[in-house]
Amino acid sequence: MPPVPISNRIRELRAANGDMSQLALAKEIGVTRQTVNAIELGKYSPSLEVAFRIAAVFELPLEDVFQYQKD
Amino acid sequence: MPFREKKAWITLVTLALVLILFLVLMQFGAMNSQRFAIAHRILIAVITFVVVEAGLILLARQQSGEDARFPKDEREVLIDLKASRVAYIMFIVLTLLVTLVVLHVEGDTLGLGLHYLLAMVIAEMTRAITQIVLFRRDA
Repeated sequence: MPPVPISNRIRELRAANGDMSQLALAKEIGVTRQTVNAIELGKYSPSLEVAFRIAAVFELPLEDVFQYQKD
Repeated sequence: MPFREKKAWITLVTLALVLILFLVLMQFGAMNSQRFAIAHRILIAVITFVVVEAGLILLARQQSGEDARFPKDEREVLIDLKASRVAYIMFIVLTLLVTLVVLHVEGDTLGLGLHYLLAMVIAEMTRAITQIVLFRRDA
C-alpha cells in the first residue's frame, strides 16, 4: 500500500491543548480512538468532514492541521 | 483490543469451532444417515453458531464498555466494505471451483450442497480474517 501523502500535526496540537487524549479528541469529532490513532500515524486519511471537525476542535484552519506533500 | 476487532475474532473462532464440530459429526457416520438427519445437523450447526456468537458478542460488549456503544465510524465502515469485497471474491472463486469440480467428477446433489455451504463458511471466515488484518494494520 503506498504511503499516504498527507501529514498532520494532531499529536503536537493535542499536546499543546492541555495534553488532550486521543479518546477526548475522538469523542469531540465522533470517531473511535483507534481512528484518531490511525490518522495521527498517517495510516488513514480522514474524510473532508472529519478533517474539518479536527481543525475546528483546535480552532485552526484546515491547512494548519493537515499538509499535503507533493511527491 | 477494540470492540469491532473482538467481534471479528468471535465470528472467526465460533465459525471455525462449529465447522470442526460439524465435520467431526459428518466423519462419524452422519454421511451414511438419511438426508433429513444431515439437514438437521446443518440446522443445529447454524443455530449453535448464532447462539454462541450472540452470547460471546454480548459478553464482549459488556467488557468493552464505552467502545462498544460508539457507532461505527467512517474507518470502520471502510474496513467492513473492504472485508466484504474480499469475502465476496472468495465466495465467487470457491463457488466456481465447486461447480467445475462437480461437472468433472460425478457428484450427487448432497455433496454439491455441502460444498456450497462450505464455500459460504470459508467466505465468512475470510471476511473476519480480513477485518482483523485491516484493524491491526491501520491501527
